[in-house]
Amino acid sequence: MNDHSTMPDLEELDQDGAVQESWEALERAGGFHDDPADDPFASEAEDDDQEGLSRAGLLRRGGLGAVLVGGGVFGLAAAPALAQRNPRTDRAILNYALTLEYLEAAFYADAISQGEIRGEDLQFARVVGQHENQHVTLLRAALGRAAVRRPRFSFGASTRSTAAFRATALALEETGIRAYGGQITRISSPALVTVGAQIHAVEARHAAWMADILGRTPAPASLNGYASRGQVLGVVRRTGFIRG
Amino acid sequence: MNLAKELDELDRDGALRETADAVARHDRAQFLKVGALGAGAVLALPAIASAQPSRTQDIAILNYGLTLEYLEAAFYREAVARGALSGRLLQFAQVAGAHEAAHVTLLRRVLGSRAVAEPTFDFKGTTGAPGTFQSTAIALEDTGVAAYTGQAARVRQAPILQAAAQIQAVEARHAAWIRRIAGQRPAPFALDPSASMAQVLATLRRTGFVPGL
Repeated sequence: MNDHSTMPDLEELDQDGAVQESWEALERAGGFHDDPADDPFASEAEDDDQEGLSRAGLLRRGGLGAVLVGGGVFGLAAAPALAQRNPRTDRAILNYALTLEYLEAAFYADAISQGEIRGEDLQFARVVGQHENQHVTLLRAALGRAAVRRPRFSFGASTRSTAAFRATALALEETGIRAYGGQITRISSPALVTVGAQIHAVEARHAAWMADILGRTPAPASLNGYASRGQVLGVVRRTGFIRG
Repeated sequence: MNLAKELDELDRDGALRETADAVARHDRAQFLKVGALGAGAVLALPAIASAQPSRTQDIAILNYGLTLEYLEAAFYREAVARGALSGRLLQFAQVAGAHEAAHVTLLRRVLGSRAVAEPTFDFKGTTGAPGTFQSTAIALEDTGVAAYTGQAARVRQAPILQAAAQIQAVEARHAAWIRRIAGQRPAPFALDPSASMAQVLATLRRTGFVPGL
C-alpha cells in the first residue's frame, strides 16, 4: 500500500495485533472446565465486557447453558434460543456493510469505464465488481427502506492506471475482509451471521487473488485480521473516495 | 445457505430471502458441479449431536475444525516430503501447510484435554504428483471454507466465533491462491458456499483419506 500515496496504510489495522487479541480472548474463554468453581467465565472481570468478549461476558452473567436475557448492543450470533435479537443493531451493521459494498462496486465500475486496465486486471474488475454488486443487491433487499443511499464517489487517479488500480483494489478488499470480520460477533440474527461469513470469505478470495496478481503472498498470515467500524471508517475517510 | 425465519424481523417483504436464496441456488449448483461437496449421508462425530446451547456444542465444533486442520496439515506435510512439487505449487504447499499447522496448534490449545487425537490419514497417492496435489488441494480448501462458514451461526462464544472467522478467511485465501495457480477462477461465487457438518463429513468419507471415518 505504501507504493500509492492516497491509499490507507493497512498496517494500521494491525494484523498481528488482531491475532494477539484473538488469541488472548480465546485463552480467557478457553479451558472448558467442568467444575463451576473453575469456570473461566466465573472469574471474568466486568472490565472484560468489550466487544470481542461480549458473549463470554453475557454467558458469565447468564450462567452457562441458561437462557440469556438482555443481550444489549452486543448481539449474540447463536441459535434462536440463545440470541437476544437486536434488529436495530443488525440494521446498522448492514448499512455499514452496504456502504463498503457501494464503494467497492463503484470502484470497479469506474475502473472498467476508464478503460486503462486489461487482461487479468480487467477480468478481476468484472468478476469482483459483479460480486460486489450482488452484495449491494442483497443488503439493499435486506434493509428495504432502511437502506442508506449510495454516496457519491470520486476515485481520482486510482482507476486510471494498472498499478494504482491494483494497489487500491487490494486495499479495498483487505479492508472489506476486516470490516466483516470485525462485525461477525456483533450480528444477532443467525441467518445474517451465515451471510456475513459467506461474504467475508468472498472478500478474502478477492484479496488473495489481487495479492497474487501483484506478486505478493496471497495468504500472509495464519489468522486474518479484523477491524472495528471506527478503524475501517477511518481508513475509508482517508482515501477521500466518498464525496457525499 | 440457511435463511430461516429469524430473518423476518429484518426482511419484512421477504426480498432478502428471495435474493439470497436465488444466489445460493446458483452457487450451490455451481459448487455441486465442481464436486467439492455432495448431498451427504448423515454422519455425526461423537458428541456432535447435542443441540444444547452450551459449550458442548462449541467443543464439538472446535474438534470438527481440528479434524479438518489435521487433515489439511498432514496433506501438505506429506506433499512437501514426497518432493514432487516445485515452484509456485511447492511454495503454496509450504505456506498453506504452515498455516494449517498453526491452526492445529491453536485449536488444540483452546481445547486442551478435550482435543480429539490426530487420525491416521491415507492420501491415496494424491500428494505424489503436481496434478493430483493441485486438484485435491482445491477440494480440501474449498471444503474447509464451507465447513467453517457452515458453523458460524452455531458457535456460542464470541471469541471462538471471532477466531473461526479469522481462520475461515485464511482458508478462503488458500482456496483462491491454489485456484489461480491451477488456472481456475479464484472467487467463483458472490456468496461463498456454506456446508453442514454432515455434508463435509460425507465428502471426506468419499475421499477415503480418513480410514475409519
